[in-house]
Amino acid sequence: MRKSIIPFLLLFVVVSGIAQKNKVKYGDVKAEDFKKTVYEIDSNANAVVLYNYGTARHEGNSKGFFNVVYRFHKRVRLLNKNSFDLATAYIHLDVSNNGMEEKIEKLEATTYNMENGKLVATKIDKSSVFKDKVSKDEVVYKFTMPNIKEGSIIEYQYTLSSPYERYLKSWYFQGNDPVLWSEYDITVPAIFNFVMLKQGYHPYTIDTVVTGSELYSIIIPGESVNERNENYSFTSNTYHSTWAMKDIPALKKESYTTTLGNYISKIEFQISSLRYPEQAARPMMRTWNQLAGDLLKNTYFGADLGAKNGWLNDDMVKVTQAVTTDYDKAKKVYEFVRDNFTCTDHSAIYLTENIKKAYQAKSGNVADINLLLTAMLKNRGLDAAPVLLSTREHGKTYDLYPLLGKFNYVVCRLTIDTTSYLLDASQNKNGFGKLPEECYNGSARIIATEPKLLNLLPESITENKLTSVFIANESKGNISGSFNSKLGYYESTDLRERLAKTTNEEFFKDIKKSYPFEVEIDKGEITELKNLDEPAAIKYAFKTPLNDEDIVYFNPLLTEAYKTNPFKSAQRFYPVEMPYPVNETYLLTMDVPEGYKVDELPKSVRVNYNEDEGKFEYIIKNNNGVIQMRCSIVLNKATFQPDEYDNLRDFFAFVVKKQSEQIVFKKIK
Amino acid sequence: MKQFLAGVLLLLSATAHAQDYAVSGIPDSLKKDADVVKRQEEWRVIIKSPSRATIKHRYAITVLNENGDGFAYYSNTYDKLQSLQDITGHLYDASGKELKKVKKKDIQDVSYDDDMSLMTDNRLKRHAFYYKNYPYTVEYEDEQDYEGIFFLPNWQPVEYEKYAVQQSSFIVEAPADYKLRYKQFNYIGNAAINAQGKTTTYKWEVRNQKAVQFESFMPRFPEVTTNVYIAPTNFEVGGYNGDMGTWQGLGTFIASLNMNRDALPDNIKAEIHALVDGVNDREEKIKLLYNYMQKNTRYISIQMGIGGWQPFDAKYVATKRYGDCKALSNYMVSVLKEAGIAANYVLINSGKGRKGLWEDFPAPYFNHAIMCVPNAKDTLWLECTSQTASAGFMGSFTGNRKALLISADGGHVVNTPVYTSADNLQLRKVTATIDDAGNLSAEVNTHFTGIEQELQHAIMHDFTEEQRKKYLNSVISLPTYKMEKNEYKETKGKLPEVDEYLRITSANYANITGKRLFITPNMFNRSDTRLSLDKERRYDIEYPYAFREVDTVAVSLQAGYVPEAMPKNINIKNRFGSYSISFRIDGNKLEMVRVSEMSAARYPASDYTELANFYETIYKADRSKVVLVKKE
Repeated sequence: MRKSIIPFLLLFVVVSGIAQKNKVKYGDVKAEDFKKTVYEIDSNANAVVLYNYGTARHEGNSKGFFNVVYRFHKRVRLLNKNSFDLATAYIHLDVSNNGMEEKIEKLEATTYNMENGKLVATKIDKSSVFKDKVSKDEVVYKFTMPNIKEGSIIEYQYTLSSPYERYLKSWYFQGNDPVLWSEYDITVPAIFNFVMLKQGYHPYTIDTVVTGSELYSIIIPGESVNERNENYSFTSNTYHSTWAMKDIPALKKESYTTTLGNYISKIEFQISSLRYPEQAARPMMRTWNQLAGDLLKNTYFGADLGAKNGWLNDDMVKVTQAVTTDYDKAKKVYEFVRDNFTCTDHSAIYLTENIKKAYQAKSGNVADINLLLTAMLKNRGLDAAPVLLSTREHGKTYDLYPLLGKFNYVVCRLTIDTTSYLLDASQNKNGFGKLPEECYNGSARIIATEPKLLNLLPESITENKLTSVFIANESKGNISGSFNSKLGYYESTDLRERLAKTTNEEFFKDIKKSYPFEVEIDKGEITELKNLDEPAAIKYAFKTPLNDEDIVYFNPLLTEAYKTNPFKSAQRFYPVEMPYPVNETYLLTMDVPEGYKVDELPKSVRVNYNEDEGKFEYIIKNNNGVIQMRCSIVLNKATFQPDEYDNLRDFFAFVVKKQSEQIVFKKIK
Repeated sequence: MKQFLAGVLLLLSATAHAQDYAVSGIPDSLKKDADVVKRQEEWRVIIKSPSRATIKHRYAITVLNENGDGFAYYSNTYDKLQSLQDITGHLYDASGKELKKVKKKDIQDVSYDDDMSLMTDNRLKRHAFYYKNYPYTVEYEDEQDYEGIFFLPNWQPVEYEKYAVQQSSFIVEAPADYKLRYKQFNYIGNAAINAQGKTTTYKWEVRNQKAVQFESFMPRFPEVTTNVYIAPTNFEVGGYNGDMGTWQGLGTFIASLNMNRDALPDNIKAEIHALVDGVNDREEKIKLLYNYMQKNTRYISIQMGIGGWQPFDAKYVATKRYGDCKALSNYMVSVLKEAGIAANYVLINSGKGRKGLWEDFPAPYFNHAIMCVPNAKDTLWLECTSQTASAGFMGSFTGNRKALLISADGGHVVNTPVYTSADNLQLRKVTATIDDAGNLSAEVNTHFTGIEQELQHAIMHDFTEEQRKKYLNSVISLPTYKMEKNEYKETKGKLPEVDEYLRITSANYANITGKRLFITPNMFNRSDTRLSLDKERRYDIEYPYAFREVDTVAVSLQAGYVPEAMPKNINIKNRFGSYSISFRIDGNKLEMVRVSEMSAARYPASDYTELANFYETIYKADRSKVVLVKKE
């Protein structure tokens, strides 16, 4: 008997016009589809995706609820052999949920060719589809299309059934190859309410929602062998959404981009509420306050942070026994975690098991490590809270919705009196109160009863570098002097990482090699190398012979000149995103070599970048045999829009040119 | 009585000491220049029959600093024919105190992705303690059972640079009548062989091997450190029997795997005849059919079980139009056979800079299959996994080495083509102008042949116009430049040729400081090699590759400049090769000619200083600047 558990649901209004279907039938490939060998959308394309179509609909299952059933259909024209990799497909399935794995069904794959004027279709055989259990949580189906040639059309479709009813797979309209038509079509019963998150620059051709109703059948399994299964059928109102784009250009990689993921045209979904029949809607997407509250109770996140964690006492007392102030205690605890625990995964927001397990394993993901740090600081009575953020590579977060999937990293915020410190103990070369540059990616969120927004902008971490060089007439027949460069903090981190893999000796040998002329290097020293909280400095003495030359050409910047323009490509489609603003200063004081006079000095120059957004200075003068020089590059911002690109490129081209200029000394006869 | 007890105690402590991994037990000489020290190791290869063996491996490694962490991670592969079980492991601190054990659930079991194959049946087990307090020691032990023997493990106790070894032994137990063969490198003495009853035991052992550091142009690592290779004589794998005591025998085995895999479907036969019937020239026929194969197939690797050595048959390739190196080579042999041309399947050890095989020690060294059409003095070699290669060209991937040719009567060791400095040419002509502002505009015509054209071949075939532009706009070591135009033309042949035309502009190429103009005439061919002379050279120099490069540059300057400083001309000829560069100013024309030639050869370590100085001279001369002054 049919039992309707949803008698009535609200009436919905059609949001926009009726979708015009551009349905393409599987197998309906015609000879004329092969006529084109070049497509207007991109005459350079290796392949063109002719049609990419996906549907998602909920279906009742036999486990008492819903499955989401997806149907994917893709047709691609392979124009040349460089596209043959597209003829191999990988379908990833989540099998982590025991007994409720994702499954695929009805896989079909066909290659079409024109052979002697005739259309020939070759179907894939079952034995050519491989199932690879890559790990205990993931299965990959792999297959490669038969009978591929330049010009082939390939087509495949399959059904994927997923037990995750509150989750809808994202749709990427854009990819590495141009796409002529891309469409996603979802039908959701009114029980589920999803929020759509759209991104990208390409316009939609279809963007509609239509209400309707459908019949759903659910089987609730009996709880024991004797109990019978119960069948429920009911009609529910539905939202049927369709999005389509046409003629979507390929996405292309460029340097100085945090991630292309921020620019790709795509649509994502997030469950926002559940509305059971005759019940009030149950919000699923919480406010930041609720979400933070839940996270603090979650055993895979903050549950342990509320407790005293007495098991830490002995170790924490030992770690902090020599110090008294809160600041020093916090520092000791931070260093203890950083120096004794290994981070095995820098992308995670949940604990692997719990804090104690991470403590015993001495390793874990970034959440394990920084939540453990938070627990330890709290154990010492300090005010510490976890902070969720998304690294640059992971892409931007949405300020509007509290979506956990948009975050991939956990750090810790410590507050002593009124001063706050951000701590990351997962990076073994990171100082107290510093975050890796990867973390400066916009909105982060403090997970506390009052979950405040924390804006981590690249502009907040200027990289300051100061280099001073003194050259005095100490040994006749030589130019000799001292070099002292205090690096920016992130350059210091890079240096520390480099010196962990090589010796100081090797490092100074490389400096010697980087000189444009023959030098001897002596008294090489790196200060603050082990003090990770401070920037490091490189110091050494150098000497180069004049060889009694009549004319000596000398670049006053030594090794510090920009030799090539960092912006080589002639065109730019996406913003330039540098890791931080820069402020570099180079100072030189130099005695004119004994027995020589200055024949020619580069001209002083001062250039502004976009008025006050940056500047380049090259000031040089000769004061009675002492050359004084100051060269500085300042960029006050880190992000540059595509239309600023030419300016930026020209700015650096000018820097490169100016910094290559030489002082000319002539022997006094 | 008392004394007797003391003796027992002494004995007990001696056995306990065998497990003692205190870092204090490492001699200082082994810690020097080392990231890790292998404390002890035992390989035990127990051969039970021609088809069955058990391999037990136990080792302990002390990690001295974070560079050594990678060596503390355990991983090993397995598949249907080689099981992997009984992994145990322990972690010890610097004092030798045990901190942790491997737990079964901590061992990851994942499919093994070789980055190349669509599917293999290989899987990987791995484990790590992720400990960070240096120094520390890990100990692992595992066991593998072989179903079928084709490969046996080889022993190389010093696995990498900065890796010292305190003790390592390699033990093989085999039935008395088992004909084990072995080949030793850098091993003093011979295996200790002990024949007792039904079993013969072979044992190799080293102690206190100091860490080594890599050197430029050194011979391959396995050639400079202790290595022992072992191989069976009679063997059984995947239901096939073989005898690899001789190349002939190993070839016979491969031929039996390939047997009856050459049948082609009728439509392919028809296509073959339509293409070549009526063509008389044999080489022309081969080229037509090679081209046909290239057009109609692509490379897809599937390696399962004995399929790692047995090709999919010709019919499989004909219908799916794909296959791996074995399947495609076997297919091409079959296609030629249908056209009445006898060709052979060839196994080879491919890869840039790799050696082929040791002729006196037959064993399956191979990672690739190719094929050839033998001809007394002009054998034609064919690489079947490329859709763009020239018929007959092996290049750096498979050229210049020994390979195993498979014929009906077994295997034969053959040589693939050698490419000399007369074959690998790069002849470049640059015509350029520099304006008053120092801007450069250059037309660059370059003729590449042989191995020198491999990169250009890839730029032509594997890049889209856009990727090519992007690439060309990033590789040249000019400060800021633009590639205005690029053109490529290929002439296929046994020695393929590529002609490249580039038009480049570079703003401010010449530096102007006041009245002076600084120009580096060598714009496009600057050697980057600089060899360090700080340490005494330990190993021979192996210069891997012969070539000849000629660069001619003519620059038109604006009128009114006179030279102030001209670089010295250089002309050197020595055992390694030759280098010359000369500069000339004639009116407002600046000219440079650079010729450089190297031959592939091996030199003793004592030649190293000369080589380093040679490179240093080239490095500087390549960056020579011409200084011009504006006439007042």
